[in-house]
Amino acid sequence: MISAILSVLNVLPVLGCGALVFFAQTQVKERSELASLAITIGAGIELVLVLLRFFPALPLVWMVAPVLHVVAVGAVVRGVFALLEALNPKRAAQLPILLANLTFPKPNVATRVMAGVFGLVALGSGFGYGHGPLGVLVGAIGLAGVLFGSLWVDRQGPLALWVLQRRPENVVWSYVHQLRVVNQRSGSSTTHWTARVGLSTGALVLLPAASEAHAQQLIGALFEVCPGIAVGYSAENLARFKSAPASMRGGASVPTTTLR
Amino acid sequence: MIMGLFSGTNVLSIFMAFVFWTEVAPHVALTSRPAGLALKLGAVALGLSVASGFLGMFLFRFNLPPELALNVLPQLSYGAFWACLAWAVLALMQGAGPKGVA
Repeated sequence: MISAILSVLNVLPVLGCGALVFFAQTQVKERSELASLAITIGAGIELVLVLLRFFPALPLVWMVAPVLHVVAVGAVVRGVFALLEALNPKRAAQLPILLANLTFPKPNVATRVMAGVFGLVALGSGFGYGHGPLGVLVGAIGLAGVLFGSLWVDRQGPLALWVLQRRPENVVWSYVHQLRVVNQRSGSSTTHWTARVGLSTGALVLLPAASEAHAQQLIGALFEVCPGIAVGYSAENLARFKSAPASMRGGASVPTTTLR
Repeated sequence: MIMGLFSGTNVLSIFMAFVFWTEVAPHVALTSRPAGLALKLGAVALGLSVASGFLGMFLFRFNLPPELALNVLPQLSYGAFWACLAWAVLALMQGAGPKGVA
């Protein structure tokens, strides 16, 4: 019974990968050759791996399978990002200096190195993929691939800047946000200011600010790029953003309120 | 069982699920809400394929076949992961509009 279910379930990844190849060749190709190629290669590798399950006497293939899975998923992600670039080309219009000169936190390499060490310990304790030290090595190569991929995605740019440069029409709402962190032991506190930016897709991104006045200036500059957006935090704006974010643009602006 | 959870594939799946949830999905959600949602579901599916080892222990206690969690659920969730990727690409293309229109 279980084996019958399993043989049916083997078809699921085939269907998913097949659909990816189909979409890449029929729809994505006309927008981006690179996206189409990367998605087809990634889904193709996974398809081959699934089909190889029917040939159990291939130990070498099974040993490198974790790395091939990472390569397949990585290729599809690269394709998705190439598609995003093609669908949202950078606009010619320059951003106001205040927004263009913003400093965003850089991708954190140290955190990834630390995660890599934990991953290596986990791989070592489980002794890889059942292939001894060589299995651990293969797992480590796959792990390095995932961590590099994570760094690459992070380096595609801060989300807020990406939207302002490519899809400013998606911005529908902005407000000043204050986060106060109190150290219980010393009693000292730190205040973090940001200008929060709501998008028509329901996503919320942030612009880092040095002070409340700076955050207000950022929202002013944002209004130049995206006229007609709702400004200021209120329960009503929050409810509208949660229910129908796209309807927020072009309406009457609410006086600015800071969320503390 | 616990050691099995830390096998090579599982460790990589945990990391990939985390990257999909925290980095890939938020970036894609800037363009298309359904595509971002599809990638978050994909991350959950990938995580579930790892968590099924724990489920196997509970199924064993309730006299249910542990193969259900050890084999069927990982297969199901891995298939769901790839289906979610396909759904995300389709959602991106559906929200794109005709070519040449910004």
